Amino acid sequence: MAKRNPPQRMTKKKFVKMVTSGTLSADRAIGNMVDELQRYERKYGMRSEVFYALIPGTPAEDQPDFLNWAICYRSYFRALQSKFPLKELSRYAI
Amino acid sequence: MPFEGRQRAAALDHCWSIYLSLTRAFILPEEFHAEFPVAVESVLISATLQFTVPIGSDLTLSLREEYVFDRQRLTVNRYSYNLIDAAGNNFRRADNLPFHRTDYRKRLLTHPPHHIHDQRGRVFSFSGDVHHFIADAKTLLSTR
Repeated sequence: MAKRNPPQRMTKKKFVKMVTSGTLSADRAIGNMVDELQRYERKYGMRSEVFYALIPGTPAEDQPDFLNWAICYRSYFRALQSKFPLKELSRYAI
Repeated sequence: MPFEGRQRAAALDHCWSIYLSLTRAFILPEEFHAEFPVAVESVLISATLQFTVPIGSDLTLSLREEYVFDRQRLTVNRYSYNLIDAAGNNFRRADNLPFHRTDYRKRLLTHPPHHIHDQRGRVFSFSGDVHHFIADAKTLLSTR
């Protein structure tokens, strides 16, 4: 029986080229984060803004979904700020 | 962009080191080699790395790291490393939330606030190093 070869690891040069190729647009990245935020909102019946005001910084955050939700929420704001580098948005910065 | 110039280079270097650790520890699906660079592209947009990859027939590794720059040094502000079993349960999970000072035997954590929870919710010491988590996952996988 032929031995299955493991997939080849890419080189760092190829990795950097792929990362900087611009495959992922800011819009798509933001869309992915919105999808994830909405999944948590549906699961816990709570808007992300309310969640973020109530849970992070308390021991209740030490639960996988809540920790990931908080990280995702901050990431969403950072991505928005990178897309709309407006001073107005800085009011909402975390 | 959250990161510029040297910051982008530092973020790429860190993500590359994670890729090397993963590919040295596990035989990963071919798709991962195409998906990981896209996940790293997201770091340049949101300063967060997030991906999930199967590392065996019944274990999945899910990593999430949120980065900040402290002067010129890339630091992981918050992270969540998870080993998930076939039933979707967290088999191991590591994070740096500051709510634990001792392990389940009431001994001080060796590198607080870094810690690991096992599947029974018990808290153990953890270095906070993603490469150590990957190495532990490899050991666990080999003993299952």
